[in-house]
Amino acid sequence: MPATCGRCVERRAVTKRPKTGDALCKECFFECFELEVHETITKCELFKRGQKVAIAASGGKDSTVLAYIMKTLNDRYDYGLDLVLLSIDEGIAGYRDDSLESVKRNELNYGLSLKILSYKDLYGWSMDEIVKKVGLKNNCTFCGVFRRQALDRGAALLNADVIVTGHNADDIAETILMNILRGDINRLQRSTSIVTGNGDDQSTIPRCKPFKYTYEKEIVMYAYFKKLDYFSTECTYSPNSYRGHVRTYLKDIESIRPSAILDIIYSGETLAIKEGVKLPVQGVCSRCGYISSQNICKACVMLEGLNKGLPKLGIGKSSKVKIIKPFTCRKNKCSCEEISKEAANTNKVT
Amino acid sequence: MSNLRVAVEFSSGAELLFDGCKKKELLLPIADENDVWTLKRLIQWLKDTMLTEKPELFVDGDRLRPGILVLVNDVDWELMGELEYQLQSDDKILFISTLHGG
Amino acid sequence: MCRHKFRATIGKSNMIPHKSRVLVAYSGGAASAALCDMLLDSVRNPDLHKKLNLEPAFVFIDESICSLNDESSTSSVASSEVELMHCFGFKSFITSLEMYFEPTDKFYEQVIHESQVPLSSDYCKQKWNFVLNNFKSLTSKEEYIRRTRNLLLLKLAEKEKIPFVFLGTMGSRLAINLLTDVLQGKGNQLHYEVGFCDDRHEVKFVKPLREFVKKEIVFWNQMRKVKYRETQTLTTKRDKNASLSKLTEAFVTSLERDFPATVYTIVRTGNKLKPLEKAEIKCSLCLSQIDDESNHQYSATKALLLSEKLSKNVHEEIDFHTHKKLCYGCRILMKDSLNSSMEIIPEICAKSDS
Repeated sequence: MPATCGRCVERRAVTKRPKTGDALCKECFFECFELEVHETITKCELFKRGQKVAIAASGGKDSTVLAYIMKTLNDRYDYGLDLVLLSIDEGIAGYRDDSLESVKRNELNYGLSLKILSYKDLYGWSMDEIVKKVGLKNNCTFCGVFRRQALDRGAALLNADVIVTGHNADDIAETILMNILRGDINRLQRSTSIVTGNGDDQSTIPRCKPFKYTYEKEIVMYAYFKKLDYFSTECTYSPNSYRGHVRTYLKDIESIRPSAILDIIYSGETLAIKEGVKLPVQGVCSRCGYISSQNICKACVMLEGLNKGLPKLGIGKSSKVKIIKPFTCRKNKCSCEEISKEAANTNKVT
Repeated sequence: MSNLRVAVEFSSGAELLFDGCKKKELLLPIADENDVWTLKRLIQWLKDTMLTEKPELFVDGDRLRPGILVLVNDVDWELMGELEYQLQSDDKILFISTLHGG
Repeated sequence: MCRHKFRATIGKSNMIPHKSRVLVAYSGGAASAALCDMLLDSVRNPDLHKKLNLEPAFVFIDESICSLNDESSTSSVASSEVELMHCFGFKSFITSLEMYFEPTDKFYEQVIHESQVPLSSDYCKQKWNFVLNNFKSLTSKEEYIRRTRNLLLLKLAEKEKIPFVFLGTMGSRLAINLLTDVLQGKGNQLHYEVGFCDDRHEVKFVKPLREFVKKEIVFWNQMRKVKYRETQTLTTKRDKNASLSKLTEAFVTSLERDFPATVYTIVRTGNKLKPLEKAEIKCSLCLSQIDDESNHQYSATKALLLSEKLSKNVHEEIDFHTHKKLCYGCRILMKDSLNSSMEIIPEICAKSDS
């Protein structure tokens, strides 16, 4: 029969913590969960009093719990933050419709204001329209690239100082493994930092992950015991991806040794890159002004492709990126001749 | 021959594997007094009789696919003996998927 | 082709001077058998340009203590390995894994005749079994075996004053080890585990086969008629969920089917890593430097400590450095032991300090 809570030594335990193996009752679990997120927020100095914080809200479990906990902690510990929900509507019929409904309920229940921005608003194309154009093969690339910027653009519209996302410990561990498998050293280093995009240039809004050390299992348990209302479905376009393999691997790891999730994060935090390994320089897209390692960011290249009826643009080799002339070539001191030569060559091939 | 009455619930995406079924009362046949229903047996039974889609997303060999949480009467099954837990009359078994998007 | 790759791996490192003495760790398995063969082949090459100018010695560590159930069959295997090693015509040594606990200098022997049996003692066997059986998970057992095997090789090389140890770890294995290390919180040690040369200690551990994949090794052995056997580990006969390294092996193997460059990519990722800033203290078990955790603003370690403090409802500060002489990864290992780590650690520390 279920054990007694190891913390209050009184009530009946309802869950076993994957991080430590301790059995806790509902009340003690809530308390630990909330205190740990609070500690992460304060020790990592994620926010400053008076800041406007955009909560990336998808209606799913992580962001629903995030919205709830941000609201709770902000009230309880008087962070002095102005919280807003920010949702992106990719325009996939049946997928977002229901989840946006659940975000709207969060808006009402937690008394937070909500801003919904659609791909159509931001880019002129909805995902359904993009799929009609590109088919089901590369659509996830589009969606991912567009989503990354959509949050930035949305947050900028809201005048937010920080974006918080619901990425949890499992997500971060998964990303670390992904980047090792792909040999992506650049991302490997970035994937463990709790705040990203707060570089010197100030061109982007910093993003942070208050759930960096919070296990997915506990988020789900918290949502269940708190009876939080969230929506879950697989994206209707989601394929059996490489990430899927890694995800299965990670869940298997967790079932062998639950604490490994945190150990992977520790590994990620402590590994360092050799001097002399080239890292791409982060610049700014000459079209839209968002961070990009290329002259023109991927979203702009893909959009160009969509608008010109060349939907493969930006998906294959990066050399093709150069086909498009930057808006303001003089300002960027680029050599237009070189670009048009390249373009001519690539056009021959295609 | 008698029956064991239990309720199974699926949420957080697990219902998608069971044709959208969120909740169901089951009457599990019991041959005699020594016939016990463990969670392991129930999971196998669910897979064979109720599952409509992608069995590999529900089971992995003879265990439950890691990433699906189970609550027995609102208690984490990891505290209840997991697969070896013996079902009691009127138990409520809830399957929560963590594998679906958040 | 393989010959060339082998010599090139050693040559381009520029680390091993001519006429160096090297100790080759021979287990009888496919990779180490291939390593011995390639090395002997290069050393004996009559073409002076291609001749590898090294002075090899060999060592066989009997690990039959790990597979307790069928002792008889494994010791007969050991004898065939000793016989083979004797035929190489170079200086060779034998010992067994449990001799790690031997308090005196007599923890190994030189091979003088072909039917020599690996050295062992009841005292060491008992100690070894005590420590091993107290680890709850197979993951920890495997990790512990791996670490003590290295420590034993190190001690032997030090005693014989051989500056280099050659390990038969091939690329496929390195990729699995790298991932398994990441899972065990050893991210800052990947550089040593995967790189060509592990210089955590005076004696350098070198991996001349790091650029070979399993298939190449198997072909080499086939073509050169190299004798080897399938080595048994604790998890050989278990399913993929028996341990983290077994799971990782299954994962990498299945990924290789769809993405053949997987092993190369993982090994290449490892090449680009370096250790964090040098710290003063070294871990007693794996001999890596220990991170100075007080520098971290808020890390996984601190998050874990907070969780433990909160959920066990202890008010006093849990001491960060209960195991001052162990790195994060080896602390996890010790936590998995049934006995309080204090009982086991002195055993380990006593050995590595000497």
